[in-house]
Amino acid sequence: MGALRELELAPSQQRAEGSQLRLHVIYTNPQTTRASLCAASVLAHDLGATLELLVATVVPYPLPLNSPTAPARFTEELLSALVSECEVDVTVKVFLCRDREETIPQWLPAESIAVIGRRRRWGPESSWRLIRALRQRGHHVIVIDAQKRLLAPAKFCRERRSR
Amino acid sequence: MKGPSLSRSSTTAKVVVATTVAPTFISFWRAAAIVLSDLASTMYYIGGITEQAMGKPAAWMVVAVMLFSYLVRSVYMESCSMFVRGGVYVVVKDSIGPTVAKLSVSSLVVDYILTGPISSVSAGQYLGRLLNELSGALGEHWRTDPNAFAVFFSIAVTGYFWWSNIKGVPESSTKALRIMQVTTVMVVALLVWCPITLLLRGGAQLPPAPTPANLRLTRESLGWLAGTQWANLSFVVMLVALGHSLLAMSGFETLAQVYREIAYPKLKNLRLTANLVCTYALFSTGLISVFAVMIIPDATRSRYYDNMIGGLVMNLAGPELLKLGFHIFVVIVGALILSGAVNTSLIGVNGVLNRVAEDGVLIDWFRKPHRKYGTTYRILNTMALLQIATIIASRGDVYLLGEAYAFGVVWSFALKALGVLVLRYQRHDQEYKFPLNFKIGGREIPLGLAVTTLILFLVAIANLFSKKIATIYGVSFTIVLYTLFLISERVNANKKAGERADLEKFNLDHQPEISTATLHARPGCVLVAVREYKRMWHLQRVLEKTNMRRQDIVVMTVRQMSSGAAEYDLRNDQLFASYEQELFSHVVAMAEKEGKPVELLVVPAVDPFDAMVQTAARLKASRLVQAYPSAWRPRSSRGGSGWRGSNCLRPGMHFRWR
Repeated sequence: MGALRELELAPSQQRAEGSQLRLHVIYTNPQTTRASLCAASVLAHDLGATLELLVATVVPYPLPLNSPTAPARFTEELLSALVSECEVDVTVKVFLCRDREETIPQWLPAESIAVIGRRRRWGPESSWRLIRALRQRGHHVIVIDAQKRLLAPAKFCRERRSR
Repeated sequence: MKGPSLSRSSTTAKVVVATTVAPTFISFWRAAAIVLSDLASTMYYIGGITEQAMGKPAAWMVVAVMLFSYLVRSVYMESCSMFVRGGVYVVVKDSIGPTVAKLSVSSLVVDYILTGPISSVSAGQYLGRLLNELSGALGEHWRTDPNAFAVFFSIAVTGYFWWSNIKGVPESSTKALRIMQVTTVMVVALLVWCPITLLLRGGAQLPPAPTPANLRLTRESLGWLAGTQWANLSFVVMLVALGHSLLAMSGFETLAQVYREIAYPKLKNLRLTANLVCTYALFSTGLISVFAVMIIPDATRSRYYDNMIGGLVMNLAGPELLKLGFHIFVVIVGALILSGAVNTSLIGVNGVLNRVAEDGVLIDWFRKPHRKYGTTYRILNTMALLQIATIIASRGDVYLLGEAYAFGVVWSFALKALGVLVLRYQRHDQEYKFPLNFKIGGREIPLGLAVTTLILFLVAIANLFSKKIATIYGVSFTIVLYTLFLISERVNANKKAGERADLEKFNLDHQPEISTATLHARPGCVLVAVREYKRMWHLQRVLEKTNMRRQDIVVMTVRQMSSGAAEYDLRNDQLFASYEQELFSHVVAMAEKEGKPVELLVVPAVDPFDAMVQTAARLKASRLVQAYPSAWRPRSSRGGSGWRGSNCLRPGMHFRWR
């Protein structure tokens, strides 16, 4: 059902942290996500924002929602490895859902900033449907051209951040 | 799901990964589309299969099965009203026991294994015959053997979906909805065009009534009954005929699978979904089969047994070019819906086997995740190989596959109905009951349910004797699977001891502060405090009464701490122990049954009442609901109103405490 949250009753220091700007990177596929994470980390560094990677794992209907085709532990390890490559501090949230275009816009707080990578290719692309759904919900979407970004290695992002 | 896992890279980067389930409750339209994308695919092959088995009255038998599906709908509704997540396996296991449950799941797996081949071979037949017609229309001499083409096509389709499933490519409900929209266009066009054709031609004749005298059961369709006295009994003839037609409603099991995600009011929406599915199937599968017999001339109909709708289209009134264009459209729709059924069969069998593996009925070897994609590739490989072997063995013969297919369909229905019937005497929480119930001496007699179960069993038994191929294929597979389950259970018996599979898995998403934004709850939400899972009538009432368009529901519990605990960070198990897991599992089950989403919250605090009031204030809750009497009362009064003085309530803010 929903995520479970814990309330701390006197977290004065953490509360300041909680009000920080947050950039939400949307997972599409490993290549484009690597590029968008890299770009978002530079942006987050410049803006003093925190990063969150949102991954919608679509579970097909004949399967129960809590039984994805790949075990959750496997996906988590895969994502940890992906994020580690980019060398950024990030919270990764994996949602087991039926429809990516419905779940991601719904779970983002109102007027969030979403960073999404895409590759230029011929024909319809699923990322566009997600981008449209996010914009319809009033979120701000930054689209990263993964083709260009893929050429920029993690080292470049690291250097940009350290500047 | 697991708790948050933490991993560190070689540098200072910190990664926290957490997984959570994000359900979206769906409308009855969408739910019906998902069920129909499996169930309605039978319209492409049922007409031909049944007519080969029993002659022209077969079309009426298909209509009869579609009408009978309203009764099976009621069986599923009664089972869903007891089990939110109740497929055949769960229902039979709960009512009759694990042994019969293993048999029922074996027959369901046989059903899934054959869904793929029959759907893909049928699509291949349609496509192959269309190519021949196109070639003829263009004046070319090129022809393909439809059977050989169907074999190659279905192996390619199975291979494609096997690889998609290995990669874990998702299929959304939107895609199912789109396929059903396109299918509906085709069905409506046929339902308009066919009567126009009959009117233009004049003198249309209905197929002969499905009486024992009119039914022409062949030696092949009577199986082991041929030449015996049984074949002369009208009642037996009718049962055999029904048995040949019953696979028209295969795919009903999906109804039980989507029930969990149907939106509030759940049962009403389930009824709408089921009615929509049955009515759609009656009009599409049933009526189209009747029109096919009425429109395609008797002399040429046998040529179209494997592509009955294609034959129907080519015999409609109208210009040849228009008919050819519509034929192409019919084949495209067929390829979409039938290929969807192939995919559903692979996903379904994977799901069912994973579900039984959770119960320790399948050895873990099968569940080993793929190195790159993480999917259970061994189950998928095994099932895909079995499907390909079936396709090759069938040599592209849809009738042969249909014969074998009926075994899994009828036995899974019969065992499910028996499970629901047994539960009438074991449980009394049915929110919906199959109609026609009488009381004799204070004891309920579920006449309607009993008669439906009896019919299903009689048809299943008739199939055992009349369908040689189905019996040999189905029984062999069932014995192999049952033995596999039995051995696996023995192997896993020691490993699984102490694990509870019935509890939900949650992950703690630590939040520095609580607010309406972080909790996805709008101001004015209803906050429900829960403590004991046996006393949650107040939550039930809130779930029933709350209008989700206006208010969200937040369910909280308090983890009581000693006053010194705040000095240290709390571990997950200190915040959320097995008791909280069980408590929230019950909350999730209640919310799912009602079809309403809830937000869950656990608050560590010294004084539970203070924590409740503070949370209500921070969430700007309009109501705080708690079971009464409760140990969580205002400290100052334990019956007074000291909670009003809590320092977190801002002036002018108030909420009702119930």
